[in-house]
Amino acid sequence: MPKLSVWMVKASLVYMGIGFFFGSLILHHKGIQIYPWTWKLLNPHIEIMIFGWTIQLVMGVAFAILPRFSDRDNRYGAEYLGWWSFYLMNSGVALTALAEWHVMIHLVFVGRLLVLLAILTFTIMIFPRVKPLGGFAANQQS
Amino acid sequence: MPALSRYFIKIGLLYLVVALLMGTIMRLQPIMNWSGQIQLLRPVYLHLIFIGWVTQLIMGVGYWMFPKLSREKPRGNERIGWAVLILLNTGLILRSISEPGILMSGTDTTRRTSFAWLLALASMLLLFAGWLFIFNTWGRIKER
Repeated sequence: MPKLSVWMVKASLVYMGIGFFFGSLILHHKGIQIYPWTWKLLNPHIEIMIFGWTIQLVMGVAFAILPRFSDRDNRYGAEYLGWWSFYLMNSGVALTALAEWHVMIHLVFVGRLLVLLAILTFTIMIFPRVKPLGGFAANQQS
Repeated sequence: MPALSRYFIKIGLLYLVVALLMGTIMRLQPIMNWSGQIQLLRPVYLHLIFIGWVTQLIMGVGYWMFPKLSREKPRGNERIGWAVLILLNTGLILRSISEPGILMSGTDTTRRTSFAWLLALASMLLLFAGWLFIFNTWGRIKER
């Protein structure tokens, strides 16, 4: 598994842990109340579970398993774009979640913008890898 | 495909079908003039999709295909894997019953309290399931 995928999947697992924790607090509070501010965790919970956990996991796995290039120095493509998408995604999700918790709508917008840039960057990187053949198989004469 | 993965994926598919049936009924409610209480199922519907289907699919395929932990234990601790399956599904089913149960209890405080405690239990089961999955999977996320 390439290093970028390791970082993305591990980050997604961290978000999963945090998201499950927030969700558990909210669900508990629906039955037996704990803290009055628990409801503020709902929007951060949604943000973390959709973008931090699910989408980032998909990005990490996609980077590892989509067809690779046989005729480039880096068979994974423009990996630097992948690292940019990693930093943008994680800073965006963290900022959005924190801003939603404190209801700071302008910072929510900034966070969402960072996530958008992350997705755009990742898409530009991964798009050419969505192709019929890759790696060793592409080199074989039929 | 290991047995645990098959269970995760097949159970996940069942949740997907049930969730989409539920979603269809919710969409039909205003058209057919059914009781508005059907919309109380919305959080259950969302979590049957996100936990029942999406998360279990990820867990099943991840358990199968992530890099091997070691030669002796390629997929980590299998008992923990089964525990995750049982905890996650028990928690999800409990919340699916208790969450609307609380809302439909009305003035019956005894019934409401029972559902409330079941919901609290469900929240703990789901949390342990998630954290156990992370614990069992973390070491497998590595460069080969």
